[in-house]
Amino acid sequence: MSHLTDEQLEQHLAGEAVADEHLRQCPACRQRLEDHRAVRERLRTAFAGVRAGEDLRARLHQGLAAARRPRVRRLRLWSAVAAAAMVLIAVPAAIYLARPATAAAGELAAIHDRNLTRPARLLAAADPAGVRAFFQRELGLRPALPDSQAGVSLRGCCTCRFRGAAVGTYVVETADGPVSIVVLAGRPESLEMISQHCPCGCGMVKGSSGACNVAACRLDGYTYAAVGKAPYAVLARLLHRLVVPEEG
Amino acid sequence: MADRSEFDADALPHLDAVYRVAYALCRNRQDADDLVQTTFLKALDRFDSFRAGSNCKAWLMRILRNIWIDRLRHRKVAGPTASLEEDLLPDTAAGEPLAWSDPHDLLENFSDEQVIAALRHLPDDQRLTLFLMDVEQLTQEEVAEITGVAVGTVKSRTSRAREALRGRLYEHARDLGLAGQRR
Repeated sequence: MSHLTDEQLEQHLAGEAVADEHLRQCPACRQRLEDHRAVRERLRTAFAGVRAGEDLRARLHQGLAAARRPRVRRLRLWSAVAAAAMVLIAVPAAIYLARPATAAAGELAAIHDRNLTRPARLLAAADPAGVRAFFQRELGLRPALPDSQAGVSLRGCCTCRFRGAAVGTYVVETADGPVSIVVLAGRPESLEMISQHCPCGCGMVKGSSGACNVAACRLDGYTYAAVGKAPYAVLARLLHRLVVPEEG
Repeated sequence: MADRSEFDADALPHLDAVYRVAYALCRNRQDADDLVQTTFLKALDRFDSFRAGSNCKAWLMRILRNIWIDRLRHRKVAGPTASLEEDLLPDTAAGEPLAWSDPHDLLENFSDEQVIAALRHLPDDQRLTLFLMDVEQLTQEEVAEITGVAVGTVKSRTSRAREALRGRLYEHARDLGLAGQRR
């Protein structure tokens, strides 16, 4: 006599009337079915008291709110010059809009590619303090870093060359894959990319090179370019979640 | 396509369910919290692709599962593939069946944490499948869609996972002197 198959057992537990005749005649299968039913019920009750904690709820609501209303508070100082910045971005953007100007995006994509394919050049630093200390020491920069509550983590950082100048870059792990953030001190003459309307006035621009998307914006005297295979919206959102480090 | 303003109403009621599955998959609460937060942020980002009126809980579970798999791959802690892991399990169903005189009474001797700990010892795909079937009570079709396998695979994987969990709990009961005989 062949016993119930796994599939028949699951069908029976799902309420289907299968192999009823066999079950009536086979105490071993009846016992097995009853054991599985008992395990299922015990498993269900074991998780009955498992709930998301209040701190997780609070952080989640914070994170969702931040994702919807990007960085308005952080850009309070920047908003004073937002109108001028928009003009400065919009004019070159209008000029560059009609041409396939992807040289800057290509250079940024190459930095991202090197970050991923030559990990040895990255200083492995998963903690924001280590990355900040590195940029302070190597370039005298104090760049913004991802908000630790934003569900992303740091892989490492290094210096690189962009348009002949030394700049900083760090790699962030996101749910959409690794993203390189390139930190450009001061105000580059143009990144040759397409201007995007952003209500916070960050001067967001976007471009692409090969499989890489690029989004860039300005924050507190630096320009940040996010480069990766993640969709543009993800890159823009990541830039909006960058946090300026505390003084001291 | 869903209106993004409806995200809170559609998705947030499933927070506890998403947390439960993250808690079952991860080894600690901190990792579970992080997985849940990343899942909801990604879900918000992609809510435009959610079909209004479809099963939001299953949609969230699918996002969570994909993030979790990516993390396992990235951290290189996934170990052997699921199929290999399944082959390593003792196939108690095909061999000597274990016998519990009263399985319901016996299982009440374990604390919730002991049962959850036993579940966490199962291979990754079995753990997720069994959890979605038995705890979240999703349909076999929904679990098949979430885990990316055929319905038949869901049935066999669920059965083998429950059998393995049953075997692990039995061994533990025997160690505690709560069960003694094999049949």
